[in-house]
Amino acid sequence: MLNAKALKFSSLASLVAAGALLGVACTADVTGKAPGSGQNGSTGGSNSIAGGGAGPVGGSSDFASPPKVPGAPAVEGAGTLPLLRLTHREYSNTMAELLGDTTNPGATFEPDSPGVAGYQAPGTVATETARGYMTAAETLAATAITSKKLAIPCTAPADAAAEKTCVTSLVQDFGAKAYRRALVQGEIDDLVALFQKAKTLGFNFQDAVTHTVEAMLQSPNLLYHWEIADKPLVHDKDNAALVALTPDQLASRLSYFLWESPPDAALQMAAAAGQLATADGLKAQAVRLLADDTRARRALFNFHRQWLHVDNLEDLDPGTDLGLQLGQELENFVASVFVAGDGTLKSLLTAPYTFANASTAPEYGLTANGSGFTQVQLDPSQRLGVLMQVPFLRTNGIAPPVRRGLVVYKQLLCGDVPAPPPNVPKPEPDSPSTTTRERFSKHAEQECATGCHALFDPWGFAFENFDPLGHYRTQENGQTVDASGLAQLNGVVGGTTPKQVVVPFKNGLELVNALAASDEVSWCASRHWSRYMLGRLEGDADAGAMTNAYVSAAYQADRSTTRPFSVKDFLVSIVGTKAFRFRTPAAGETL
Amino acid sequence: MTDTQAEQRKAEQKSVLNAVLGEIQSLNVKLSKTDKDKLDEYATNLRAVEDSLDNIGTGRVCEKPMRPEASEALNQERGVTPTTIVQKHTEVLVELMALAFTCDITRCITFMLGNGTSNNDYQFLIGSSTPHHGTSHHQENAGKLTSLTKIDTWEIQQIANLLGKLDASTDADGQTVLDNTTFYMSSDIADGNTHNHYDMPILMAGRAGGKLNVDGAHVNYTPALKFPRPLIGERSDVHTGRALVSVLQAHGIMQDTFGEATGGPLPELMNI
Repeated sequence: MLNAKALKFSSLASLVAAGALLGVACTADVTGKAPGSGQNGSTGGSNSIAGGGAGPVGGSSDFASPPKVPGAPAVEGAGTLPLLRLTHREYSNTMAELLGDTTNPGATFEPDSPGVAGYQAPGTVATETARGYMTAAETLAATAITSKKLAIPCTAPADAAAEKTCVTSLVQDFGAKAYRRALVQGEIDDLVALFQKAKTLGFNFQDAVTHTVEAMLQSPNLLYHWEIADKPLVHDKDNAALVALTPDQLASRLSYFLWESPPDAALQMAAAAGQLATADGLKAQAVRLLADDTRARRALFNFHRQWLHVDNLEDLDPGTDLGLQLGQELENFVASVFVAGDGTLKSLLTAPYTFANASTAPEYGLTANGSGFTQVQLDPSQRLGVLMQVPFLRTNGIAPPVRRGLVVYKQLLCGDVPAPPPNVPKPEPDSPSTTTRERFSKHAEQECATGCHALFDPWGFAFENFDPLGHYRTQENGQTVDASGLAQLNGVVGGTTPKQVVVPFKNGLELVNALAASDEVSWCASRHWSRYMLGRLEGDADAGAMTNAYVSAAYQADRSTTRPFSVKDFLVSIVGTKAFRFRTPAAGETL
Repeated sequence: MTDTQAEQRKAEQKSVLNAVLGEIQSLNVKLSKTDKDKLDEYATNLRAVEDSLDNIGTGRVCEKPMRPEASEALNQERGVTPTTIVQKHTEVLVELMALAFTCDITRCITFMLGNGTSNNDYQFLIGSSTPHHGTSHHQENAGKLTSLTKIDTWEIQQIANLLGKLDASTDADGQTVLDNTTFYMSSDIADGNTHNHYDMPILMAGRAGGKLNVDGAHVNYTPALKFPRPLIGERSDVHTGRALVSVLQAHGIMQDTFGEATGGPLPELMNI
């Protein structure tokens, strides 16, 4: 049968008891550390995976502790690069850059989910995704050509030969932007043939051009990051196992890393002129890209919203766009720190200001006019840095000690969290006579919850001066809020010998200051940025590059005097390493 | 869009997809197994999209529908007492299901109106708050029975609405979409008041492309039972299982048993 469809429609009254317990849960078999837990937290746990290639470099590929006592630069390697599809955000940004489209077409696709590294890394394409690409391509191509945002380089060509010249020119020019490289002759021929096929089907010139553009918008050359499998093959002179990315690939990798968008004309020209062949050339472009406020903020926001679990903004406050406004607040804040500001992790974690507009200012008890965001000072005796701003506090406002604590423990300290066992009881429900901390402390004392909640809840208690909505409070249900604790950190800036340091804190303000001064947090941040850049977990092959980039961002030029960790410098440095400029070919790849 | 234009468009879409498939082909030879699999997946699903262009019914042009008006209303209702949410959800989903089959977006749909102890509120039918679960425990209360009848009737009306839409759509082979569909409706329980699992209500429709014969007949497989039904009665799960075996066989899955039911398909349902 052509069509055999089955439909099952189940309805009517029913009384079958069914229940599902939900809860964050844990096992007792854990390693790690927690504030005040008294455990020896010497191993935060390594998430490294075998990356293939160079093996341990730089002394140690144990990622658990920051690199120690910098001496000579580590030997750099490079791991494999998985073939990755553009995330839907990258897709939307790409359409914005190519076609001037601002409709965020990627938002209509099945949402991306986090990859193994914790950052969006789309996997395979389902039928609906393929159909989505097709439908989006049809709309986008038609709109761009009708509106002339994508200009056809000729008007009313006289004959078939003139048409062919015109379409060839469009395919070459638009293709170079869309595919992020020059098209080869066979590709140009195929696309021109597609145009001619459309003409034979009876479409007029403009529609036939539109259909040709449709094909390019669905092309795997556009939809995937092609940092692999290209010629000519150039090996690293120090390590023949490593293959150099081509200039075009480097330009694309760089711009999607720092802009979440395709290369601009200047970057493509730099690639063509051979300026990306050296580490310094690449770093110079990285500096330029990071200074572009409109595009760098895309990637900066995208990283931080995932790193700090500022998730599900669209659904944060149903019926309003407050969630999206809070997203813009975060975007403005990270842009101010990393594009215009000093680019340090300390500023991210302790800056006493944020950005607000008329919708978001009341969340801070402030007022502002209009929809545009302006910088507002926050009371430094209440709030410091990104972890005490409403976007983070509110998106992690359900079971707040757990979620906020998890971000500190797992994302800022790179601590291991064991998988939850079944049947973990839920914390007691809200009651008018207890504080959140009391309820969750009790939960953490329960047998099956002690193994893990004790690891991360105490960090979350530091933010108890903020209710689930992120509003400041000193009292909860008639009791004074207790946001104190002990932070067990792995050495601090200023010391060259890692040691267990227990830092008592009275409240979240003292905790974020301690975190900002911890080299463990700096190192963890650089690990997360590395994962974001690589599209996979960091591995042994990346350790040397990560170490060198970290040292250049955490130490003065003498490589021994520490300085506040500069994320911006880390990003520029890592781009110049072999882990960015080279790759280890995957097994089975035909070179 | 006229039929000629639609045909022209379809031909063009296919040549565009073929061009994309050609590009995938040329990239694929260079890749490692893992990466090749990723790209193959895109190719496979592009072909599925291409195939589906051939299977779209001719009765309507399967362009992406407008966003249903109801969904905006639903958005506004989020977080508010959902007095009409069941009604609006169902209307939208019935529309979507009919469209999905007509346009061959999918070949299989399961739709559950409410979960086991659903307290969907039928205030929009009854006038006052009427949660389904509590109402189904009617204990012969006349008011509750009246409400339950209204709820059941409304539910069956939604089904009639869906089947009507499928019957009004023409499939690619010229048959109605309903003719090429197997529709199976049941509940997880026969009588909510007593929780019995015999005497299960089953409604079937559609002809599975001619393989099933389910139109028009009401078959009682427990004729010996008189009203009021006893709490524990004759097992009808045997017949339920055999009805499901009939569906399997109509779809080319030549299995003879389902659950505890043996004896193969119910012969009166089969047209094979």
